[in-house]
Formats: sequence, structure tokens, C-alpha cells
Amino acid sequence: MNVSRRIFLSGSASLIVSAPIISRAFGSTSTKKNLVVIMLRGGMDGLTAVPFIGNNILRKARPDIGVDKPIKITADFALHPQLKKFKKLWDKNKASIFHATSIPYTGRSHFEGQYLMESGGTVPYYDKTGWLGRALDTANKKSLSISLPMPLILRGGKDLDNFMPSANRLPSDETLKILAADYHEDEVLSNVLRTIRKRPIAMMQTSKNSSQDVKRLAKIAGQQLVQPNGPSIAVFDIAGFDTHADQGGDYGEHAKKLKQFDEIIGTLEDELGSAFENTIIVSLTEFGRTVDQNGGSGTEHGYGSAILMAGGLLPKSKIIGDWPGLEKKNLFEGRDLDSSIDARAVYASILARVLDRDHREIIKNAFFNANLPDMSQRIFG
Amino acid sequence: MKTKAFIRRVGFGLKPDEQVPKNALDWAKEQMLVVPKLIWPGRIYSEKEMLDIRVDFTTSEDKLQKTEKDPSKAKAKKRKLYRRTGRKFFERYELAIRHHQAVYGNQPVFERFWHFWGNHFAIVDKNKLPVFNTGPMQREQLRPLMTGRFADMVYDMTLTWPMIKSLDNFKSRGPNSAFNVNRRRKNKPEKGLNENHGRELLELHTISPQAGYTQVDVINAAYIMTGWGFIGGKKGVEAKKIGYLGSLHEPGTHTVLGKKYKTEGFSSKTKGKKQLRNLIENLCESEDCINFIAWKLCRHFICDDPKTEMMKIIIDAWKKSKGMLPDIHKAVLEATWKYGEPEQKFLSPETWLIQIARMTGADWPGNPKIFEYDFESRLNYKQKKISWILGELGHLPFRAKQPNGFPDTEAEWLSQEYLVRRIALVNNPTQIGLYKNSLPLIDISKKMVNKNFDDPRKLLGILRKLENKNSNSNSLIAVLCSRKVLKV
Repeated sequence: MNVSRRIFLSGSASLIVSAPIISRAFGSTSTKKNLVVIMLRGGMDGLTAVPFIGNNILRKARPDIGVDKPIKITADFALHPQLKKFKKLWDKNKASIFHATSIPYTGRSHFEGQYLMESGGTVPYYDKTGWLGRALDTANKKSLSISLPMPLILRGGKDLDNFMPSANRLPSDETLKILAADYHEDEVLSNVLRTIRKRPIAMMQTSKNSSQDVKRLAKIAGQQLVQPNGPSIAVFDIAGFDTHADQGGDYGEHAKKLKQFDEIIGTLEDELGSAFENTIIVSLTEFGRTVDQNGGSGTEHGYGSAILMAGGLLPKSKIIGDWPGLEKKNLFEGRDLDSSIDARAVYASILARVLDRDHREIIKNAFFNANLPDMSQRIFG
Repeated sequence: MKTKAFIRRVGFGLKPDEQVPKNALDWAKEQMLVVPKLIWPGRIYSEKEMLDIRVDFTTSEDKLQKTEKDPSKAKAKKRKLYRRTGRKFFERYELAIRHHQAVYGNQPVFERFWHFWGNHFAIVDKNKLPVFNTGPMQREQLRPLMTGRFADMVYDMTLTWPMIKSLDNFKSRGPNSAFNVNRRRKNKPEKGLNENHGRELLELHTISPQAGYTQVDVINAAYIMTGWGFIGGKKGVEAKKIGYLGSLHEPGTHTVLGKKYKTEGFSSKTKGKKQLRNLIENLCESEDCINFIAWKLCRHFICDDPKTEMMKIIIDAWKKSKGMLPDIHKAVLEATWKYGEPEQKFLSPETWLIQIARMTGADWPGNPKIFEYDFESRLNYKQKKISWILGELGHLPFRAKQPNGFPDTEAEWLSQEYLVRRIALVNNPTQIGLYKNSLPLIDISKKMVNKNFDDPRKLLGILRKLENKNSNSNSLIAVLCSRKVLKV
């Protein structure tokens, strides 16, 4: 790893001071910038996605579920072999990894963790809105979630929509008007129906094909993101990373899920074309997984994981972070990869870049004024 | 609450020919005393039969994959296997039994609670559990438990085949169990603990993280659970029995939330076996558990943000009855009757679908005869549509993505895409068994509104405006997707 703990810490301290200048330096342009957040539910194993190969600790800790054919990207780190598109972007200086990071939650419950990764707060089930939604509240940008529910992460924002392809057909707007009249006393229902009635034609069309294949979903999102008046924010939701048993290595359950993530990125790159240059895609998960494999050739709930980032807004490919090491003494509670930085700092800096906002303003609006260092220079510098 | 609103809140509304009960609270409470028989006239497969079929399927599929290398032959054989074992049939069949019971049964309030508990002990969508096992388990094991003690329900549900399978406990072994000591002696790699089930027993099924347990408590709960898993399996064939293997159990005393669980018994086969029962008993009588379950029941039946005074009614009944479910259920009904307000709960898609079917008298999920299957043919549209529709609505009840089951609040269920799907479904009413050639749809709508609303004036007003517009399915959309039907 090319960053030591000492350099990292001094770097972040100076960045707090210079934050406003950096934000101004990026300036605001009329070009539409896009942010895609891919939520990976169940606890994405950062050590499977981006294994540490600097020593053999990980291999020894995971005799049955190690990654056999890692794609080496630095002296110390590799990519999981299913992250093929991501690797291509890495080679084009359009992918980065923030390793050994987590939201500030150590309780190891999926459902508390997932709530917090979306709410951006520190008390589970407390805040009713999400960090992305709050950041967007004043940003005048549209967002689209590729999911059936409106995920917590977007709640609190304006101009939200969500979508999944369906074969059933809506009635005419005349009929919807009857409902609109009925809903008018209910603000939430009214807003939901208003968005439905304003949907672009492409999202009104029905499809006999009810497949929820991620490539297809990514294509739909991409088609909307490239529209000049379309959404600038997209959210995906993949579940199934909770591999307590039969996690697999190069193949298997965790690999399958990583492949889905990779396919979303690859499809978005194809679909966005030149707009990919103004796009950043980031992963989000509730926690990482234990270093050791467990009794069922799986892993347990852990702490530190990795944030995978891709897109043309990244200036060069790099692994960012302060690697705590996998030696027992460096593990969180003796079992998990530690987190060297509050993951919310990474998301805040990305938001500042995409929304052309001051880092402090983002922290205030989206993250309850939490003490989050500005990572802009580390990610975009 | 008012009578009809209450009937929709805790049940599925009134059928077109159903009498309005004189005392709705008593009507609901009486339903909690006896487990209603399934009214499905067709064959009911026992859980054991379904396990046999499952194991036949998994073993045959495995064999097929290993032996048939010719892709086109493999495809044909696979299709035959799928049909012979009902691979695509059984989930739909179970859904049909469940919906038939809810739409036509005489204890709809009991059915609502059954759905609640099925979701509380959610089995995730993996390993073909929704196809062969989840429905039969809920029918055969969960239903009868609903008139007993909560602690017994937790214990028995913990040890059901689908739960053990889905939460991986059959893979968990004590690090110092006889099994691992033996492996160490033979220089073989150990097979360790799996925390999954222990954690969810605490977090989801009993006390919730509010109880403040630590990682050490989770590990100790998982130690207590070691030994419980499948027994009697052969290599390559899934075992069908759940039991206790002392040789896999972590020996010694384990402490969970300050309470010690000692090893009881002398035989190495049963030593430690009682720890799980003792743990569950203690968990279930703790304040944390009682509060959590009372809160969850209030959130399901009363409002998204339950208040202390609502929960208190349930907590008091729980303590007085020592955790007897009929008393707890009756208290939930009393609290709902007392504190429920109109248009307060946004219905989940499945509950909404069942309600509109029951209230309109729709032919849903269809005549049971159409679900008679020869295990040779391709499934037809009428057999398939129940899972397709529930899938479109986003609520296939046996297919929770995570073990916390399906959500329960308006924020989770009200979105653009969810609403589009409800409106689009009613836009094609034949799908849910509302046929234009029976009664005119506007008359069905009127009848349903008159029967099911304490004050039907607003909805009747909407229908009046549509009367001369020759817009039959519009009248259904206007009513079935109205705020007053979506939110009870």
C-alpha cells in the first residue's frame, strides 16, 4: 500500500482546512453530472472483492473460500476475477477503491446497519430520511431508483421516482385524474401519483419480459440518465451478500453477486456513452465480513469493507485508504478488518463533487454536521 | 374504531353476502380461540410429503447435472423432472390454499395473525425453500402454535426444517465439541461456529437489538444452538429430520445477557440439549422481548409509530397470561379497537389484494379445481397467475429477501412503482377474477362500498360521477385504489 497511516492522517487534517477552496476549484459547470449508488445488502465482503495479497494471512484464514485467481492491480491488492468490467475501467484510469472503510456502525446487525447506511445517521430506525435524499432536497436534480420500494436513502428528496419493468398497463390519464382528485388531501399519495403521471413515455411502456436481470435494469437506468432532463441520480439495490455458508471463492454465491455489480457498471458504461465521463458509480454496504471463514465455509458479520467507485469523474485509478492490516492485533475486536475512515466522508466528498456543493454544506444537509474529513483531494485529486 | 373500518383493519373486510357482526371486537376476539380448519377442498400435502418431494427433486436434479452431458437431452429431462416433482407448481398451490382461506374463510382475523407470524419467522428465498417447504411448514406447524404460548412458538419455529436450512445452523459446530476435538486429533481442519441463526433468534425472533446484547452474547447463543441440525442424512441426499447431535455441541456453561446456561444431562448424546429451551424461555419472558413483540404487533395493526399506551394493553395481557398467544392476540385487537384511527395503515400488497378480492366477491384465487395438476403438463395461465400477480405487486409471501421478512410501514410500501402496479392490476380486473359478464363492475363497486364502509358517501360520490360514462373498470380503479381502500 502506498499510503501509510501517518501520511493519511496528516493528509486528511490539512484537507479539512482547504475544503472550500477545493470545492470551488471544481467549480460549477452546466454539464449534467450523474451519481449512481449501488446498494449491496447483506454485508459485502471487501476482502473477497478486493483481496489483500501483500501477505498470506487472508489465504490462511480462508482455506476453502479464498480467491484463487485474483487479478493483481497493485503490489498489495487484487480484484476478484468476476469484476471484469471494473478491471477494464481500472486500466482506463476510471475506477478506484476506498478500502478498509465502513459506516460508523459496529453492531453487526444487517437491519440496523442497512438502515444506517441509508439514513446516514448513527441511531438505527431513528431518522426517517436518507442522506442522498437530504443532499438532493435543495439540489434541483431528479433521481430514479431501480427498485420496487422507494429506498430510505432517497427519502426526503424532491423529484423522486422509482421503476422496474412490468407487463401490466396503466389506465389512461383520465382515469388517473379520478384518483388524483381522491388523493388530494393526502400529500404523500398525491406526490407519488403526480410523478407517475409525469413519467416519460419510455417508463410508461409495458414489457412482456418481466426479467429483472441486472443488465436489463442497468440499461433502463442508463437510458434515463443520458437524457438532458432526465435523472442525475440512480440507485440500485442488490441483496444476497450475506454468505454465512458456501460463500465460494472465484465462483459461488459471493462471486455471483459481485458479478451482478460488475454487470451494472459495464452496462452503464455502454449505455451512458460520453455521459460516462461525467458519472461516478459507488457501492454501499452495511458492513464487511470476518477475516476468518466460519463453520459453513462462509463468513460472519464484520466491520470494515471497501467502497468500489467507477466512472469518468475519477481522474485516475487508485486504492485509497489507510490499510490497517490483517494481523490479529490490527483487527477490529480481533476478528474483522478495521475501518480507517467513516465511509460517510467518502460519500460526502462524492456528493460535493457531483452536486457542485461545498463539502461543509453537504455534511450539514446530508450528514447531520458529523465530523467527516474532506476526501475530495484523495478521490478526485 | 368504527365497526366496518375495524373489520378491514384486523381482517380482510366483508364478503358481499357476509353479515355485519353486531359487536366487531367480540367477533374478532372469538376468532383467536380455535385454529380454523383449512377450507381448501383439494388435496393438502403434509410437510413430510413435501420434504420427500423436495429431496426427490434435489437428488434427481443433482444426479441429472452429473450424468447427462448432452444439453438438449438434459433440458428435456430437466423439464420432465420439474413437472414430475411440481417444481413450478407447489408454491402456487400453497399460495392458492392461503388465499382461498383468507378470501372465503370464516376466521379472517386469525388468518391475518397467521400471515403476521409467518412473516415474523420469515424464511428467506433460497435453496428452493419457497417452492417446497415454507408454505407447508407455515400451514402445518405455525398455525397450531397460534393458540399456545409464545415461547413454544419460538422454540418450535426455531427447529423447523426451513428455518434450520435457511439460517445455516446445520453447519454450525462448537469449536470444542467432541467432533472438533476429534478432528484436531486427526490433524484435520476444524469446522467452526456459524453465528447466523443465534443472532437472528435474538435480533428478529425475540428480544431485538434494543436489548443491548453484545457480540459475545451472540456467540454464546450460537454455542447453545450448536448440535441442532439435520440428522440421518446420507451422502448426497438431504436429511429430512431435525434433531440434536451432542457431539457437535459446544460444551460448558454459556452466558447470554448475564444468564448462565449450564450443561444438563449425562449422556453425551443429549448433554447440552436443554440449553436452547432454557434460553428461549428466558428470552421470551424478558421485558425486551415482550416490548419488542408488542411494538411489532402494534405497528402491524395500529400505526407505523406505536405509542406506549397501545403497547401497554398487550404487555399487560402478556404478563398476566404468561405469554399465551390467544390473550396476546385479543389484547392486540382491543388496542386496535381503542386506538385505531381511520386511514392510518397503508396495507401491504398481499393484504390489499386479499381484501379487494374478499370485499368484491371476486373469483380469487380461482376455483380450486383449476389447481388440480397431473404432474406431467405445462402449468396453465390460471394456475400460474397467482404468483405472477403477487410478484408484480412485490409481495410473494414465501420469498422474503432477508430474514427480517417484509416491511410493515407506509414508507416502505408506498412508492411510485408499487402504486403503478396496483392500479395496473385493477385496470385488468379479469386477472383477479372480476369478470365483466357477471354483475356490471360499477354495481360490484357500489355493493362493496355500501357493505364495507361505515360512511360510504365519499366513495359513492365518486362512483356516481362515473355512472354515465360507460367506464366499468374505471369504477373499480376509483374504488379499489382509492385512499380509503389503500389505507385502512
